Amino acid sequence: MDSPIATSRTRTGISTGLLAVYWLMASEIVIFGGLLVCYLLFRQRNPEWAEFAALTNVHLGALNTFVLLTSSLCVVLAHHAAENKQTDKAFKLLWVTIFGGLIFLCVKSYEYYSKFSHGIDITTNPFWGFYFIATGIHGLHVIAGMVCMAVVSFQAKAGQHLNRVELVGIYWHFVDIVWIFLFPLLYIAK
Amino acid sequence: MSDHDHHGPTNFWSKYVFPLDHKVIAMQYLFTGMFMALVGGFMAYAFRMQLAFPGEAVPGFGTVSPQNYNSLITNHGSIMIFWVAMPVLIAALGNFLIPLMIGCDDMVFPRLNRLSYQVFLLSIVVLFASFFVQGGGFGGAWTSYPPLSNNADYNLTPLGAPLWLLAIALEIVAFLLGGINFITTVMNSRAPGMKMYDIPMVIWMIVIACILFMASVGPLIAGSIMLLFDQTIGTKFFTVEGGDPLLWQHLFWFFGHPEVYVVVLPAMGVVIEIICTFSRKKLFGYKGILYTTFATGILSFFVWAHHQFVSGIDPRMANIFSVTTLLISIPIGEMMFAMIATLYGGAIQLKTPMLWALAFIAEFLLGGVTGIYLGASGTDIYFHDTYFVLAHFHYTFFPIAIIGTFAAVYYWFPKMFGRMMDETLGKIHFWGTIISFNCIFIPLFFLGMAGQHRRIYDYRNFPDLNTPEMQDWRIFATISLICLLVFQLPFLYNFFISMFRGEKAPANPWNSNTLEWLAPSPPPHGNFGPNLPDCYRGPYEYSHPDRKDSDYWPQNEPN
Amino acid sequence: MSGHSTQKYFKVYFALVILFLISYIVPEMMPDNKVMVLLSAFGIAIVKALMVCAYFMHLNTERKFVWYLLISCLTMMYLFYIALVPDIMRKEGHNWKSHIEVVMPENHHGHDDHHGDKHENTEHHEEKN
Repeated sequence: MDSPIATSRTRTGISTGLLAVYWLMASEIVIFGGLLVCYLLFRQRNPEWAEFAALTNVHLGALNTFVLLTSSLCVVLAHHAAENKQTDKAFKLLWVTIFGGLIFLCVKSYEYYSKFSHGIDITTNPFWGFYFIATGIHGLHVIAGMVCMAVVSFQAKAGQHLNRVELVGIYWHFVDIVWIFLFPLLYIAK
Repeated sequence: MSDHDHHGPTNFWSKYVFPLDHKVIAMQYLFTGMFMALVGGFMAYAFRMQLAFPGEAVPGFGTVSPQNYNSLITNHGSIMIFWVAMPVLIAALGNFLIPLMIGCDDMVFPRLNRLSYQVFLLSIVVLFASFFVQGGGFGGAWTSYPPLSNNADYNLTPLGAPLWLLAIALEIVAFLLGGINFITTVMNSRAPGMKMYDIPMVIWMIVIACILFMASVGPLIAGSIMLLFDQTIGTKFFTVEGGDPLLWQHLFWFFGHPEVYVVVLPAMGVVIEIICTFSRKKLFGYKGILYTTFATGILSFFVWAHHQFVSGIDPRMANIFSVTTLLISIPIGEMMFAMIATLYGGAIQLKTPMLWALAFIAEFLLGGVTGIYLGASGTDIYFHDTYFVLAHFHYTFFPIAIIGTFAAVYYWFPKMFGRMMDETLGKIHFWGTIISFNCIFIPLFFLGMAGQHRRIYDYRNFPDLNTPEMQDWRIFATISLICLLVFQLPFLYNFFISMFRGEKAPANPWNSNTLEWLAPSPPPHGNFGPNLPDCYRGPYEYSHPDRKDSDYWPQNEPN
Repeated sequence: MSGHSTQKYFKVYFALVILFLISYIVPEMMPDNKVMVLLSAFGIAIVKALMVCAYFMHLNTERKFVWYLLISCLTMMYLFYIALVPDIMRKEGHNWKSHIEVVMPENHHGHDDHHGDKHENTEHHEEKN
């Protein structure tokens, strides 16, 4: 399907796709922000949650932080390659990023599994409720990002829509930043 | 650079069922919203009949049990706000007008546009499903406060409650997707030469409404996920045992208050367009209105706890929220004054759209001033949860969702369908609606002042509230509602018959300046043909002294 | 052609990794020092987020409007937090006490040895002033 003329206009100087991704980020900030504000309020009100927080595995959380950070680097390198029309390199780097997301999800799944096997799940108490919701919603965003990157990688390999590599990269950076805040909130603070 | 699509869709499915064209998507939203208005209106009929004639079977519905009553009022409120006001004022009008008024051929993301409507339609399917599951539809009021809303032992709707919440969540997602599309289109795809102050006010209002919506709905989405899990899998976020029910109130109203500005701004934008065209006069204080709207938008985030004055919030917060609430009446008042100043000295043409626009100003004024009593926390202690509140918000919501919508429909009908609506039927519809509307809600102010609580199914259980005088007013209000519903028949007849047999409309029947009147009526695929218009001046250059031979000066004409 | 520009990305990445290691190790080493934990965990998180925004998302070369948009959203969340603090964050005020009894459910703590003896009982009688 061909885009309408409207899509190619750019009165603000920012390309249309980029502008849309920034507005998407703005709306996601208030969604995650709302959730984390609730968590902060409850956390400060219930100091006994510190002992529940002690049960989160800070080492696995740190590993995940490192994995996401590295995958962010890969996706920005993919963008750089796409800008220089190096479509094969962009394709490979995007798939390295997706692989990073996969490692993240595997570590997460292991963490969830270990919690379940100790009898802790989302209904145990509100701290665990927040933990599972926050990491769960974040995980869904990771999966969505991986799917989008897979689709864009094939388009980029064919030399089409190379600007989308940057867009999906920005989304991925946002996902990384959310995790940068989730990590201290859920894992470190005791 | 890919070729632009000049040919458009060719078969019925790709044209009407899975459209990419913004005008068709707008019509999908418009017709769906109108249908939902009939559903919401029917619910109002059923519960008002119960109030006027308690215990008697309602013709067309049956006996209204307490559970039915709660479910009817909950869904009436939710439907009117989320499935009538927002789809018609923002989605339908935004989709139809934005590309036309800024002079481009479509939205920047047509497929995202189509997806928004599909998610919206799904939300309606989920909502209707909630009516037919065991236990029936959710009855915990549109505000859905826990612990009533998260405990099926209290609300008796174990399936209806989560389905209702899911429907709201899907509707919110649909509008977030649509909002990103609208904002990006207006920011980036304007006609060459259309600067910030040349954008028609209705477009500004729709964009600001989308921004307000996007910024306020985040915490509610988070809260809805928490509430949904409370309802379905047994988490305890809003329970008394482990969480805090008051938190939901804050999350809800942090969205709920900006939401009313989300719906009022497009309606005001419509009214502004109409009064400029039909008084042949430039808008008074375009920049003033614009900056006031920004101020209103920002201030609207600081007033939400005025819905919670009696919920046990910290009284120091109640002080602060009282002050901000009273403050926010100032910018709205300023906009009303600007509208009146625009009318002053104009060559007024009382066509049907103009009648609706004038009625908006008058009725919204009543709604606004009655809000003052509610914004002051002292008087609110008495008025909270009485029919005074209900009459206040109907005097604001009805002008927004009904009067504003009719104004827009009558005004842009020629452009949408290429034919004119009948003026006589329009005037009958107008007077019948306005008189009936006032007859319904003025008595409710007095009933509220007399102490009549909201959300009560049968006032015979409250002897103090069941005096013959009060019951007479209830019956009077209900009969007026039936008159209101009957007077919609001329509109429906007019609307559907004129679509096929109305007088053919020229491109610019009202001699208006904005770019949408340049396109043929109705506009074809691509709107303006191969050459999109440029913009040379502001949208309200009526009766300009430099233009001798005409009292209007379209935006696209070079001189 | 991974020339000069990719070098910049690698430099930023190494800085981020070092910051991350500090933010991870310091709280492990001194968990009782609240100030250090806050500074290293959260302070560094803010710095890392800003660096990812500026260099990876190229916001430092993008129009200022985007910064204003994103910072406005964050500010609004902060204001939302402040407005809720008096109501939600505290269990009691000058003239009120929360009667919400927080009951920790039994046997969900698994290997935790604070089994079931953590009941947060707030007072049940009215406090009149």
